[in-house]
Amino acid sequence: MELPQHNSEDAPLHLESDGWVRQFVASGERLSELEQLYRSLGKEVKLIESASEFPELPENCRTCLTIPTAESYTIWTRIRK
Amino acid sequence: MSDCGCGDKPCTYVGGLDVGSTYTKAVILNSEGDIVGRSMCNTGFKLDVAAQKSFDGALADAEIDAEKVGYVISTGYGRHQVEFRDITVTALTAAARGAHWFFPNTRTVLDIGGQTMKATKLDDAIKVRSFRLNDKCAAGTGAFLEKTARYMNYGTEEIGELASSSTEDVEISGVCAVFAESEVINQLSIGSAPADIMHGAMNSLVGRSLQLMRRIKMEPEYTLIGGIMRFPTMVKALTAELGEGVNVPEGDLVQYVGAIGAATLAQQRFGKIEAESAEIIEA
Repeated sequence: MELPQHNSEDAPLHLESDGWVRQFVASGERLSELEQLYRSLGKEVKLIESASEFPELPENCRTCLTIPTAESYTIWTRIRK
Repeated sequence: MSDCGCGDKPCTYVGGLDVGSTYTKAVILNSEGDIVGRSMCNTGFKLDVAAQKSFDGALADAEIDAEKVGYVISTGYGRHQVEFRDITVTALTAAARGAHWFFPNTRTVLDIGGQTMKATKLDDAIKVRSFRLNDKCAAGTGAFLEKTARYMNYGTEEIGELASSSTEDVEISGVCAVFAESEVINQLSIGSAPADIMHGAMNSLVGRSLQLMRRIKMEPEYTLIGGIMRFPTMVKALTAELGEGVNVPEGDLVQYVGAIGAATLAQQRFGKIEAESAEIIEA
């Protein structure tokens, strides 16, 4: 599993302009399974710690995702170059 | 449930278990690929217990003993807790197989369960080509409808009838299960009827489902599965949006699609193992 990124180049706008598509937020075993499934479909995968992209989520969702349960990551994919 | 239907041929059964977040479903197929037993129970907090209970129920329904079952595949979020399984498969794969079992021309599967919403696009070989899930929360799932009903003092089993008795459109803006209460209170305070609020909640889910399906570039035929599709109002609203080519398994079978998919894979796998064993014996 690719380690989560935290630098400013991974802000949603940068990712989108680089051809990345936001998929969804996942955690735990499901996260690694779905990451593998995307890779098997020929996609590059980037996992971003959800907290680092809160600005794009609605306020209600932001409140919910700050609850410290299993760590959540947003799956971003792009067609392998 | 029925005679196995295999006649004089040696009969070995296979099983599929779908341990979902809300319900656990088990299915037994005979060697002809027919469903001979099925059972469902609440998942609760002890996933292994729920798996055993639903499997025992399916065996009783099929009127066979566990030792007659040659291969078991589990799926769903609790699939790794099924101790008596042979292998596991993902919920997306099982749903794809199950949808194909019912409707061979399926190209898009929409699965809305208690905690997840999944849209999957399939190719001709029943392989997953594209998929999209809801974000890790209960927004836009069965939990949202359950909470909406509960805040109006209705039970889960009353949701279908309540929504179908709606006479006026009420717009529900969000699908967040946590904020369902404030949405309900707000609607009741302006005089909206519970039936209309429930109907509005379902329409909100339809909107969310379509967003997900568009993201995977959906194609007909569409097969709708999962517990939410028990509600005719939901199916009717989705059908109105999707147009032609919408399939829905009958009755409670709509909840068993993942388990059936797992069972059909079990049958395929078991057949291969049996054939390999026969080759070794012959050699």
